[in-house]
Amino acid sequence: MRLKCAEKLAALCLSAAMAVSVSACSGGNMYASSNDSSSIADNDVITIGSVTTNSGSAAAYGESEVNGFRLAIKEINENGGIFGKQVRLESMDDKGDVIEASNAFNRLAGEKNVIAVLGPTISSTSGAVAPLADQNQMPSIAPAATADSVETGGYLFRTCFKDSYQGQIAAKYAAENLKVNKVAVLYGTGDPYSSGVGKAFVAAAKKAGLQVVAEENSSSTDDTEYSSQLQKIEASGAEFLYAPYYYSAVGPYIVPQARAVGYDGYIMGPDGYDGLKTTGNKARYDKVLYTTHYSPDDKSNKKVQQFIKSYKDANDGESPNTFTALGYDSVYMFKQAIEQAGENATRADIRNAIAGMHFSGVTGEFTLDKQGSPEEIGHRAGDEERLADLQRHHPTGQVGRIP
Amino acid sequence: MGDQIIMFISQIFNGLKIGSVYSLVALGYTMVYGIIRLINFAHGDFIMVGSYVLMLTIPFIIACGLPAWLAVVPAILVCVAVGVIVEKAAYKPVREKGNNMTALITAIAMSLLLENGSQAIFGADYQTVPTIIQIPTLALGGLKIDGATILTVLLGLVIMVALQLFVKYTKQGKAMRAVSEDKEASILMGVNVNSTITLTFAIGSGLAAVASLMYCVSYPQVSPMMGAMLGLKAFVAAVLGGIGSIPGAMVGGLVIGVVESLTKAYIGTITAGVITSAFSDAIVFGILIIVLLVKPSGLMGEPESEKV
Amino acid sequence: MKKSMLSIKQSYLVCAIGVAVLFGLLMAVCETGAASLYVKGIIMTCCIAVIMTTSLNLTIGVLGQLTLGCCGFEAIGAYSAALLSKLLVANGVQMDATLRFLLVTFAGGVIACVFGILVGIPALRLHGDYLAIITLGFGEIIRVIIQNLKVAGGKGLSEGQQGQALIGIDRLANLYVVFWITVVTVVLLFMFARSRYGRAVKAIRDDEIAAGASGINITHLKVMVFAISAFFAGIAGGIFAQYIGALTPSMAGWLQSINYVIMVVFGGMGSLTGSIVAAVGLTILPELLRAFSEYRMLVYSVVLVLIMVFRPQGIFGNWEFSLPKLVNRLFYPSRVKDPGESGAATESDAVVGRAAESADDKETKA
Repeated sequence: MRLKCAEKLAALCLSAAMAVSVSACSGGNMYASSNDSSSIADNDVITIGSVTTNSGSAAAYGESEVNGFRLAIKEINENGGIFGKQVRLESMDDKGDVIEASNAFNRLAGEKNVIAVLGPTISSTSGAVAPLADQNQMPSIAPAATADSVETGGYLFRTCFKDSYQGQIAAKYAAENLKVNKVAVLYGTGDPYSSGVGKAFVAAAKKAGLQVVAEENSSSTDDTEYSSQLQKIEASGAEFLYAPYYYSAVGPYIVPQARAVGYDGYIMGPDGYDGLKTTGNKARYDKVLYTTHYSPDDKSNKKVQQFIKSYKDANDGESPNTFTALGYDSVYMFKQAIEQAGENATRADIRNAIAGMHFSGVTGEFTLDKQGSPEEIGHRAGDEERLADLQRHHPTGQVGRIP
Repeated sequence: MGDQIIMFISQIFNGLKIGSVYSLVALGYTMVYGIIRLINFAHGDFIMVGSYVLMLTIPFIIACGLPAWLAVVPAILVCVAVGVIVEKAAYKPVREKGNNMTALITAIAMSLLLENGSQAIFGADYQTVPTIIQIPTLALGGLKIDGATILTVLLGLVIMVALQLFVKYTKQGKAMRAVSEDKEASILMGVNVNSTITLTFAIGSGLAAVASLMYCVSYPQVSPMMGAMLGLKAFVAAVLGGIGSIPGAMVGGLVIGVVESLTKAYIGTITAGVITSAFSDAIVFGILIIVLLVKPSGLMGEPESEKV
Repeated sequence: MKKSMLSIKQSYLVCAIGVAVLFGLLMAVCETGAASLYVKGIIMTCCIAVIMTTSLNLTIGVLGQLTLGCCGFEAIGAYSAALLSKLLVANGVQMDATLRFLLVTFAGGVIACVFGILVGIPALRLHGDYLAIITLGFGEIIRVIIQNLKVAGGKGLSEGQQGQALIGIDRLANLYVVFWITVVTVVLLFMFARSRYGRAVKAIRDDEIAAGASGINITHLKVMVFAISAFFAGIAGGIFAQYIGALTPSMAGWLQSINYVIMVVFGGMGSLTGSIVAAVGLTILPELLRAFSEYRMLVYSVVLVLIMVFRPQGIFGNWEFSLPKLVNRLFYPSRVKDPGESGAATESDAVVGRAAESADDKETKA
């Protein structure tokens, strides 16, 4: 009995303390914004943070982005920096994990000299960071987070185009350039990227008057065996297969397996095909195409050839990929924004300069949306304008072929 | 109608393609589990190790003018070495000190160690394996059969028969069965338990190297994490067939492969789109759960009863 | 057993003071602004990890059954809480943010608990390796189902998109509230582990057949423990959802579960305080060693193997840190009769464990 009493006593004390603390304090609030960041004028160097995926399964993308950041920053510093100040990169790894990404982003946001953040790399971490960017009022550019569900337009922007846009240009390309009729689609439902692009393609294909004869799924994008679905696609008489997967699944599995079951039509995909390595008989990859943000064959754009040359010089002749190009452009977007915002620019000034900026880089020429103050974050129509712009400059986007 | 039947048979062969690889992997699982009652979580990662060895040695083997598949010899050597080291360094001390749960945690830890170790060495990126053998596709009327599938199934059958004969008729094999029946009693009968278990691991790991060869023939890409899901599926196969049973592993692997393939091909039509091919992994694990609940000894395993 | 120098009432008081001091410290760093959002975020992550690890330890350490599906229940709790919160807003229910947070988090826990019972009843007929595998299977099934649900993606509910991350979850998690939820969780788990039920559960761990013969309803208790674990995993999930604001189905994967298993093992199987230390330590350590983060999992796995080889019961074993005991030792050193009794207890426990294990071995072989 005595024990019960003591328990009750202790419980009472604690619950009283709890109630008081919960009702009285605001310090536990995770979401109060902090406005105490410094301006560029307060520091001798300009520090830009980055949160990228440098380990785990998406490490290849993050590493490529960081290479792009480094190259751009090196170039900027060699050419006198921004307002005569050198630029420094503070790079952090998020392992592709949302918690790690949030912690790393909060940490960068807490460092007063960090004026802007590059990243995150993948869509899931970007989705978690988007509200943090708004809350910390930290201007951020995700180079390659393509998912439609990533909420951009507040303090987070992106350099790449959206998933739905990739699906649309692929459908347009199939209808207008390849002039096919029957199309099939295969995507991994477990992966936001794969299913997002795949569904956008289906919708756009129907709109473009194409006949979608097969719509197949896999449970993840890490599967190794797609023959069963491909066999059905082959049997459906499709002439064009849209398979939004990563290069790791397309190169060794999907293309050879599709050819093995007798499918010999086009296979097209999104920017995830970049970096694809062929296996065995090269002829199997002849009709493989993908939409990309940047094409090394783009001879009309002088910046592209310059970028490829300086990247190769800095990296023992290795070629840059899409992610490097997007990372490279993202740094220059910040440079342009900082220069526009002036020598006393704060984080908020930089954000306002990015919103609505017109930019021309190795991934093309485009305009970001003009979003107002952070109070109006609810309205995020911006990406449509970006889309229209891209279409103006690259009527079919950029379509790459497997080298 | 004829097309439908050809389609169905093709889908079965598509299933046998991955299923035959599951079988080879499951044989290794079942060998080890049969003797020491340990789910060797790291077995899938032995396959990863074997695949990396293949990737690295094939160019060298070809440069020597030998056929590429001979790269399996260094793969077997490395895998056996890794398997025996893992057993001696981790499993044996834990077996002596801990219980079932600590042994399983050790196995998981070894799996993590191999995955992250190879990630530190080779990087996280995917790498392609050079072509190992060109096997022509068999065409029977409208039916196309992948030659690698047939070869893998045949190889699996040969290994299965060889293992059965080894376990049934050789002295070492009899020792293995004795250890699996009763460790203490077999010690009294003069069986060297430790060397028997080491031999079991060596055979299991060697099998993993053979499995990695056939895996790389069909799926020519390696990455540090490739063994995790493969190992799990193969484990499901071994449980389905009756873990500890050598023919059971073979059958279980093929069944899981075919079930996966038929699920992907037909479940959408059968359930009118409620369950799509995206559920294939869930269905495989669903089968595992049902088997474990209804007949824990599996299709071909010996039923066990609990005694005090 | 030893005689406490403090009365039981005083012991409770000492614990309460300890918690109050901890909370005072938390308030001090938060209110003075010493803690940035980054630090608060880490404290929040620690709290979530503590709830997950202590509740998982109930199954692994106290019941002695390895499960690899705890993140499946965490995901159920997270998605339920997030969707419920959205549902309340969509239906125009006006309520205080903290109240809504508590309500949906609790509901997430209850839903996870229901699933825990549904999964537990069939799964717990098995034990040992098979239970580990079957829970892994359930976790994977939960993951696949979530990723194929239309309501659980995109903006959720009617605006849902299958296969997308669930976004736009109201971020209502307040650090103070979460701190107290963590405290209550740990207290409840302690009370359970020391109750009549808890002792019966430990008897099952040490020898299932003997426990059954002594009239303990094994299935009932196992399912109860499993359900309690699932409930708190669901609570942790609910907090996670409302802290991070965006959810992906991959959170239910078994590799995530293994992270928490590692924490339990590091802390000691059966030691709730050990779990707390391990959860906090293993959450903070990678932050301090960001530079070496690529090798984190490599180091974990090596240390895990070493622990299993040299100290199979985990670092703390089932020794519990106890504030009253410490107070006794500090203030009444002469009257503490049996120094090192905790070590002896661990040792004898290990002996019991070994005996149980050899019995286990025999039964599987038969």
